[in-house]
Amino acid sequence: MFKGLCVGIVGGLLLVTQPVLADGINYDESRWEILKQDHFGDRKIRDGEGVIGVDAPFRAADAALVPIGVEDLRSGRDAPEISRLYLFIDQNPVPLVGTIEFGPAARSVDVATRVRVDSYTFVRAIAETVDGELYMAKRHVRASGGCSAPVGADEEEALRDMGMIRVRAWDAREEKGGSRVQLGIRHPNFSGLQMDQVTRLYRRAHYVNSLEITADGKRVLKAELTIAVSRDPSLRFYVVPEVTDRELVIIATDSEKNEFRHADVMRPAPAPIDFSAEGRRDVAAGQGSAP
Amino acid sequence: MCLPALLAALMAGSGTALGERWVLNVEPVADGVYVHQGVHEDVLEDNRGDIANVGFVVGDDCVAVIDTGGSPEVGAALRRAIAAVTEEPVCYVINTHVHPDHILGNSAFLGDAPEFVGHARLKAQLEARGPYYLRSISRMLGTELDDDVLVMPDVAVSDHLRLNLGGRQLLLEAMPRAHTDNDLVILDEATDTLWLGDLLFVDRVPSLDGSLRGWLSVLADLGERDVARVVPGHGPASVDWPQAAEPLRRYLQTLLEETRAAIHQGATIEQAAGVVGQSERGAWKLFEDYHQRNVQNAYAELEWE
Repeated sequence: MFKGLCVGIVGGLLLVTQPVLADGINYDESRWEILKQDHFGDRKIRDGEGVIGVDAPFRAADAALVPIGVEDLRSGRDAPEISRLYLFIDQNPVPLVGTIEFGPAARSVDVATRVRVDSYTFVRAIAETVDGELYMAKRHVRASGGCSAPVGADEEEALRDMGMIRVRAWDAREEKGGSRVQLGIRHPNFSGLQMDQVTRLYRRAHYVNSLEITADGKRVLKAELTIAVSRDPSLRFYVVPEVTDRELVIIATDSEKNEFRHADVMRPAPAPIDFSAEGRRDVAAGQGSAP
Repeated sequence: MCLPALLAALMAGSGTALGERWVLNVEPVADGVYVHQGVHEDVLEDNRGDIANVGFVVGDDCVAVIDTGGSPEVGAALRRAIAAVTEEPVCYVINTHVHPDHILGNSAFLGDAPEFVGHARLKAQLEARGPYYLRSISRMLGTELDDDVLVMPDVAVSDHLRLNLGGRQLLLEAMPRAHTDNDLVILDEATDTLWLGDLLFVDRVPSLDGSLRGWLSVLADLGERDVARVVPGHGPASVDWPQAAEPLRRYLQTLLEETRAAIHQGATIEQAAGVVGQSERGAWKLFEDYHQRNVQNAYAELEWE
């Protein structure tokens, strides 16, 4: 009887703090209230409409590899320049995914990466403009277990190739007025919440924690990252046309103080084919396998 | 399922979710080899996680269970199905891999005190993934599963292992990384029946959780085996070999070629998930639920080529 009552009360409390409702959305803002206070104090955060948007799947196909993106919505508007982005996943054990500071060689604040999502949660992007204003966009994601998901059996391979950096660039003048760069860094990005396959102890967190990218000697961006980023950290960004065909330098460091460096002249491939909804039919026709 | 429907199902004594009275339908696919076919659905409250093929092999002395279903209830219903066939004890419970629809019924066999057998990498994977499998499957079943549901393997197969059931032997073989990194195949030598677990999906869209290139290579190797029949992890209880692998091979090959093409043509991972493999849409159940994940995993593997 008493036990039943206690369970009832605890259940009721849980319902208040963790309102995962029938539509599968976790509307809980209490963690965000704490994070907001932590990172921004009493500063006002405005609605990001017309400034930035955040793109994430409503239902993640794989919680350990959730593609998320920030979209720069200022095009053609008189909005102030964005100098910094913050990315958060409210319900993750480490909610801050990272911060990105943009430099003069960045074409826009359009960026995309792949993250671990541990629970039904909001993903938030906060943009800080040069005049010190904050703007927020958020998206709900349904996923669970991404932070403790094992890195996989080719851990040995991941460690052997650790630090290998691969860059692909595309001519994106029509799309965004610059070049699109896709960066990948081979790294297991151990979250500290994963069990070692051999010793069965929790592996110490070991992850890429900073990235510094310059083009033709000018800063594109500088990022501080956390364990929320998926294995083999990936970042997509845009550079201004003036630095296309110039040297792109990437310096990444990890939490064990390893430094990985890559420098090469950017050679953007011709514009990617149209993968938008209208373009899809042609793509499918072009790639179709034998009937 | 709403309450009146559940009551109706209980009263009619039909297929699923019958608690203490639920006995899995099993089909003899060869002498002493029995298979139950799971439904082609996601785990739902009213299917109780009965979505994968499970079964058993009866020797002269004892029984080996191969996979146990997606919840303790399915495991218990499988145990009752065994009791309806033989009074012999269960001496081995073999798991073909770590996925919850194949392993969460293990605890129903603890009373038999069998040896639990799996791939050498199964234990670490189950320990790492178990807690979040329990959380998410509890949510899908609407039933809280506690830690006791996770039963770890006692016997690790890193290469080959022979199990003697009395008068018949099972040959277990650990596979390299393919559908997962801990796939095990089991040959019943008496009847030439090969259990492939989720290395073979029939009708239901496959789920890629290991290596696309590895899976295609394992499938090609297995295709050379001369066996009387195979038991897929999802699909009919028994199918002809190697013909039954063709749709899966085609799906994986299409995934490989089109993901590669998308990467080279400049598609982002999000865009690739929307365009790759669309010709396969009509060929598979649950395509919408798993295909995008497969493309993403393929993309993350192949972008390093």
